This record gives sequence, structure tokens and C-alpha cells, in this order.
Amino acid sequence: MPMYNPYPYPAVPTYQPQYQPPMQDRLAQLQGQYQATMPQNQQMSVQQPIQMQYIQQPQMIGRYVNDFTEITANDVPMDGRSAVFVKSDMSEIQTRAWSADGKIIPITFKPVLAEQNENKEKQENLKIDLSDESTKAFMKRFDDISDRLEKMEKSISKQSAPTSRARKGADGDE
Amino acid sequence: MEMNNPLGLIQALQNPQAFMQNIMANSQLMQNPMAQNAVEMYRKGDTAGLKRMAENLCKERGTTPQEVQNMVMGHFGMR
Repeated sequence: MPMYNPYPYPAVPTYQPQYQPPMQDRLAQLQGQYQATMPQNQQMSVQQPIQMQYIQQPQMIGRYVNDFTEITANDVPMDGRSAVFVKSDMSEIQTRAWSADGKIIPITFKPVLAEQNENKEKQENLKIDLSDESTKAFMKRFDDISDRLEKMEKSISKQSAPTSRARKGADGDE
Repeated sequence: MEMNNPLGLIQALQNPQAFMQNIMANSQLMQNPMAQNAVEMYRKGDTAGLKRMAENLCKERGTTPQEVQNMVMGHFGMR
């Protein structure tokens, strides 16, 4: 006897796994759709499939070290790339790469706090301001001194002129 | 051609010319500045430069060219 099922659909929805195509398949599918929708005259120019260029992200090679002396030659790749070694206390970072003449060249980076850097810039600006002010002050002083010297020269020349006349007169009397 | 492969090393010793041509044909290897420099020195016949490079490489790896030579000889039972 066939059983009557009052619920034509299952109460619990069954999970039907759907196949999700990989990215490249999906791209090819989209490309196909695009070409199908293109007009015929335009389609002729796009005969060759568009090659997707994947930009390979440069991978960083390196590891954390307690001290840079731990690093061996095997840790540095011989394909021209640099390896980055970070001290575990973050006090220094070093990159090492093989040079063309077969030596390992280390470059060390030391941390600088952003606040310290800003303060340093401010201090440098202050130094520049001070030096400008000081030069102005010096120049003013020099101008004063030169004015005084000119005045003194004038007064000396005034004083010396009557005395020379008097001496000439005295000489003529004799 | 990898130098780690002893067969490659034997081939290199038998026919250095072909070995160098293989290296030059390997575009990936020729992107390496050290390999480029070595090939350039080989072309110019700069044996002193090649020797210096080998010495530098050995020094960085904590060994000497003499030790490497002994090791290679040992592989062939010529110690």
C-alpha cells in the first residue's frame, strides 16, 4: 500500500553541494560570454584569447633571529633576492644578499620612533631660527660699530684741521 | 643543471664548454647577478676573478677552496 506523504518537500532542507569552478574556469566562462555578446565585426579583432597576467607578489625570505651571528650562508638565497632577518626584540632588522663577487652584503636597519623624529626636526628648525636671529643681532652690532667709527673719524678730522692751521701760522711767524 | 647533482658535476668536468652553454641557456639562472658575473668572467678569461669569487663563496660558507677540492676528490675516491 503506498503511503500518502502529506509533506511533498522534506522538512529539513538537504544540502546539495554545488560545484564551484576554479577561478580560471570562471574567467574562461566569462570571457566566452563576453565574446558571444560582442558584435561580429568587433569579434574579429578579439580572436585571440585575452591572456590574464598574474602579477606575482614578491615573496619575502627571512626569519626572526636572536642575534645576527645565528645567520648562516644557507639562509641567504643565491637567486639574487635578499633575505630579511629581524631580531626577536625588534631592535634591528638586517637584510642580506649575495653580491656578484660571491660575498654576502648585510644592510642593517635600526628603528626610529616617529615622535623622536618629529622632535629632531623641530630642534633643527629651532637651530636655524636661532642662527638667523643671532646673525641679525651681530649685523646690527657691526652697523653700530661702523657708525661710531665714522663719527669718530669725522670728529678727529675736525679737531686736526684747526691745529694744523695754527702750526702753519706759528711756523710763518718765525 | 644543478651542481648538487653529482652527475651534473661529472658532465661539467667532462665538457666545461657545454656546461657553460647550458648555464647561459638557463634564463632563470642568468637572472642571478652572481651567475651573470661568473659567466662574464669566464667569457673574458678572468681566472683570477673567478678564483676570487670561489674564495669568497667558500669563506662565506665557512670553508676553503682546498677543503672543497678535497671533498670532491673524496667523492671520486681520489683522496
